[in-house]
Parts: sequence; C-alpha cells; structure tokens
Amino acid sequence: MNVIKISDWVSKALMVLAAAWTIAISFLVLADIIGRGAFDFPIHGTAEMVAASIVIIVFLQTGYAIRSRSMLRADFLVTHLPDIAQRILLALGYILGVLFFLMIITGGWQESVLSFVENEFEGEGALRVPSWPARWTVLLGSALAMINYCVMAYVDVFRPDLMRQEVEEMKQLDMEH
Amino acid sequence: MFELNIAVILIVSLVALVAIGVHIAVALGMTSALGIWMVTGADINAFHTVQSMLAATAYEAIRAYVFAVIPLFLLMGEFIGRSGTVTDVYRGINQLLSKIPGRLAIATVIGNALFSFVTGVSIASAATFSRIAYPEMKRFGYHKGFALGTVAGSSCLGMLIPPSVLMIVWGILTEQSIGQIFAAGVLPGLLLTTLFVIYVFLRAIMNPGLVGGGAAQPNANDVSDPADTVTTGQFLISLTGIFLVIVAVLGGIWFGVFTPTEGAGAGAFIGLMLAIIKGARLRDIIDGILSVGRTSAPILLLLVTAALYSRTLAMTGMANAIEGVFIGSGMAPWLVITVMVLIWFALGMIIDSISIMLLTAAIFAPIAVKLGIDPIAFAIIGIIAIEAGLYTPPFGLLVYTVKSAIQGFDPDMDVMTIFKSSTPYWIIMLVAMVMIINFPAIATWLPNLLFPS
Repeated sequence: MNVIKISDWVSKALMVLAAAWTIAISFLVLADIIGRGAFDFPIHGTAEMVAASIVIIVFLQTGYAIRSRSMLRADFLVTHLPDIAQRILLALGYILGVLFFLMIITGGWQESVLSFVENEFEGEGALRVPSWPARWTVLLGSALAMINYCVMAYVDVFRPDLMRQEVEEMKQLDMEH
Repeated sequence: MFELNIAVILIVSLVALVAIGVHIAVALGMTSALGIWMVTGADINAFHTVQSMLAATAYEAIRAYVFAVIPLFLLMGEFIGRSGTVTDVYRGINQLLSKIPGRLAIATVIGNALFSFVTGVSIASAATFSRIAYPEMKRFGYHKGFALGTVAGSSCLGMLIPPSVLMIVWGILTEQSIGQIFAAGVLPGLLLTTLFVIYVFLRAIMNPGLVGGGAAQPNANDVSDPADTVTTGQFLISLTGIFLVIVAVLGGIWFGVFTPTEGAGAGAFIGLMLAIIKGARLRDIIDGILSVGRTSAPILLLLVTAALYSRTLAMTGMANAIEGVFIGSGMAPWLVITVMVLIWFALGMIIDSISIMLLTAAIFAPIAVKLGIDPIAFAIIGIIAIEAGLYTPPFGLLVYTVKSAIQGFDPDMDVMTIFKSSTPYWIIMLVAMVMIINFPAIATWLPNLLFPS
C-alpha cells in the first residue's frame, strides 16, 4: 500500500511539473512571436527547445495518465462480461503495458547513457540542445509507467473496492471539466 | 516482402487487444512490436531490433515543434471554457432570438459553432452544453429527447470547425498542412450549422409542442433568476474575446503570420487573459492547467505508437496490400468511399475518434488520393464520417457522454431516446458529407484562396 502511495505521489508531482512546463512553453512561444513581431528580435532556438520539451512533457505525464485512468481504451465489450473475466482481461492489458514500456527501456538505455557521456546534441540550427535530458526522461517515464501498470493490475484484480472508488473519482474529475 | 499470414495475425491481434479493453496505445505498440519482430526474422536478433525501434520511436516520434500545438490548443480551450464566455454567449444569443420558435435549441447550435472556433474537442462541447443548455430547455418545456438530441448533434461542430484536435492529428498522420485543413473545415462547418438551424426551426414550426409551445411560454427576458441572464456588457466582452481569438489565432495561421504552434501559443495567452478579465479565480486557472496535464499526454502517447504502427504497416507491406485490395477490386470510387465510411461507423461504436483516426487515416488517405479525391477535402470527409460514427446506434460514444453529463439531474433519461433524437443530426451530417464528396470545392475553396500554390 505504501508503495502505491509513493508512486502515486511521484506520478502526480511529475504531472504537475509537466503542466507547469507546458505553460512555460506557451510563454516562450509567445515571447518569440512578440520579440520577432515587435522588435524584430526572435528568441533563437525556440523551435529546438519546444521540440525537446514536448518529449519531456509527455513522458513526465505518462505515469499519471496511466494511473488516473485517462488512457484511451474501448470498454464496450468488456463491460458486458462477468466481473471476474473483466478483471482478468484488465490485468492482461496491464501486463502488456509493462512489457511495452520495458522494451522501450531495454532498447534505449545504452544510447541514453552514451548521449550523456559523449555529450550528444540535437539540431544544427539556431540552438543545439543536449539530447540526454529528453532521452533520460523517456526512461524515467517508462519506468514509472511500468510501476503504475503493476499498481493498476493489483488494484483492479485484487482490490475491486478500491478500483470502484478510483473510477468514481475519475468521473468526478471529468465532470468538473 | 508481404506475407498474408503476418497481416492476418497482426490485424486479428490488434482487433482482439482493442476489443478486450487494452489501452489503445499499448495495443498499437505491442501489435507493431509483434509485426516488426516477425518481418525481421522472428529470432533473438529481431527482438533486439524491436527494442531499439521502440526506444528510438519513443524519443524521436514527437520530438518536433509542431506537436506542441496539441497541449497549447488544449490549454486555450481550457482557459476559455473556464472563463464563462460560453455561458454568456449562449444566453446572449438566446436573448437576441427571443421571438423565434425553438430559440433555445437554435442558440445551442449557434453557441456550439462559436465555441468550436475557440476549442478543440467535441466531448468538451457535449459536456458543457449538456449542463448549460439542457436544463434551460427543460425548464421551458422542451421535449427532453429533442433537447438532448440538439446538444449531442451540434457538439460535432467542435471537431469540424477549426481549431480542432482531430484536424491536427489528421494533418500529422497524413503529412498535410494543418493550416489548410483548418481552413477547409470552415465552410463545411458553417454549412452544417445552417442545416442544423434549419432543421430545428422547421421542427419547431411543425410541432410547437417539441419546444414547449402551447404551454405558458415564459418570456426570454423575463426569467425569475437574474443569474440566468447576461448583461449586454458581459455579453459583448465575451463575444469580443471569442472574435479576438478567432482573428488572432486562425487569421494569424491563415495569413502566414503564425505557424500552427505559434497560433496555439498566442491563443493560450489570449484565453488566459480572457479568463482573468472574466474573473476566473486562480484556482480555476490552475485546475485548467492541470487538466491539460491529464488530457494531452494520452493523445501524444497515441501519436508515438501511431508512428510505430505506420512504420510497421510499411515494413510488413500491409499498407500497400490493403491499398492493392481496394484499388485492384475495380470498385467504383464512391463504393470504396462507402466501404471506408462504413468502417469508420463501425469503429465509432467502439473507440474514440482520435484512436479511429490513428488506425485508419494512414491507410485510407493514400487510397483516396489514388482515386482522385483531393487530400484536403478527404480530411474533412473523414472527420465528418468519424464524428458521425460517434452517434451510430447502439454504441455511439458521444451519446454516452451526454448521458453521463446529465446523470446528476436526469438519471431516468434512457440512451435510446437520445439516440433517436440525435439521428436527424446524424442524417444531416451524412448529407453534408455526400455534398462534399460531390462538390469538394466546399472544402477546398477557402484553403485554395488562402494558400495559393
């Protein structure tokens, strides 16, 4: 249970960080437009920074997207099945999720380490952005995604009470929208 | 390269995974992994290839300036949605139309159209209008099904009128200009709005009982609760705000001043200003930002796996094979389009519109071009068909959104009633789609004017 609390806290914290980052990006883009339009002085490297930021933002949010049940899925068929079958299929899906993000990590960690050691850069235009922050965030986000898929499998298969409560909370969030 | 059994295995496993409720992104990713593994030799080396391709795609697929357009437009929509502008405009239009039969329903359609210019998602429109317009119509004695049908039916305008997340995703998947697709949606969107208004108006005249006629009709300006009216000042601020967003964002993109990303950045800022002017609390603004944190990642993750999926389609030769089947069958172009539309409808019963697009756009769009259909017009045809699919009984997803949005104050409303009442809107969408297939200029005229090649 404590593990779940910790991973939930981390997921939420990274999501908030990513949300703040998104706002920062919008101000950067705006500053670039104003700088270019009003003072003929664009902010060099905006495009490069935004591009790298998008990867970082998405993988910072991945864990939370999974945990908050925001990932898109089709539940039209599953809802007609008996409860136990539903939960087994859910678990199966989560295991596939674990495998998917595991493969992203195993396939990418070497390059991520190298990008740091060898000081790899992206872009040859206005600004050269180091590639390691985005690469490492992909690893971090994938690792959290794996943990959260495991948590979801535990909750949905063994703790239906907790699952129902979480689904209700999720609906509440949607209604506020 | 192409082997039929590989294609069959992939399609079957993708459909099976989606059907048993696996996250669409994971279903796409794992099916792609399987496909890549099979075509690269199905051994341990192939497994290494799969892993490095997954890792490379995760890092590279969305590392581009254009992808920022999605969170930024969502941010703009959140700010404007929370500013109360929509409610003001809905009530303002309503008061302006005070003598017209069915005015609440007409205000819903027009309000949706206006709201669509400043937001990108139709589920948001459906949820918002279910809560603003439906109680109002109910209070004035409208037939409940008719009221909800109007809410559900007109919410499709959100995707068809720019900016729209669906248009952005279509543009990314098919490598078409997002600005041009935005422009292409304007006339079809206005066409649909007009047809919807005509439909509501005719029904209201022919059957006044539907819109509370016969019963003592309270005057629009004579509402008991002053909180339900909008002052002229607030109405004008809201209307100006919306027009400012349209001019700055869409105008900026169309006249080449902004890239779509810059337009979205500017829009997010104007939206924030509007929310502040309209007195949104800091808490609302933070909630809006967090809400984008929750909604944008699933879409962008889907785009990562979609990139993987399109590579798989190319590597396995599946895209060419499917294209060959369609082109080689000797079917008339209209028949091919009909088959595509039927597939979209079928998918609309099980998955959301963005997922449908990811699965089909990369395959269908090249076929349509081979058949001689303008790619920009086809984008609009596809978006209308996919949106219409969301109303197709018995599973249309949008209807369930409306149902759950009104759960709180009208739990007895059954889904079939909503379906029945939104069917006319569904038919009107099909009519509009057929018109665009026959007269693609409805879609292509404006982009050709704005972007002369």
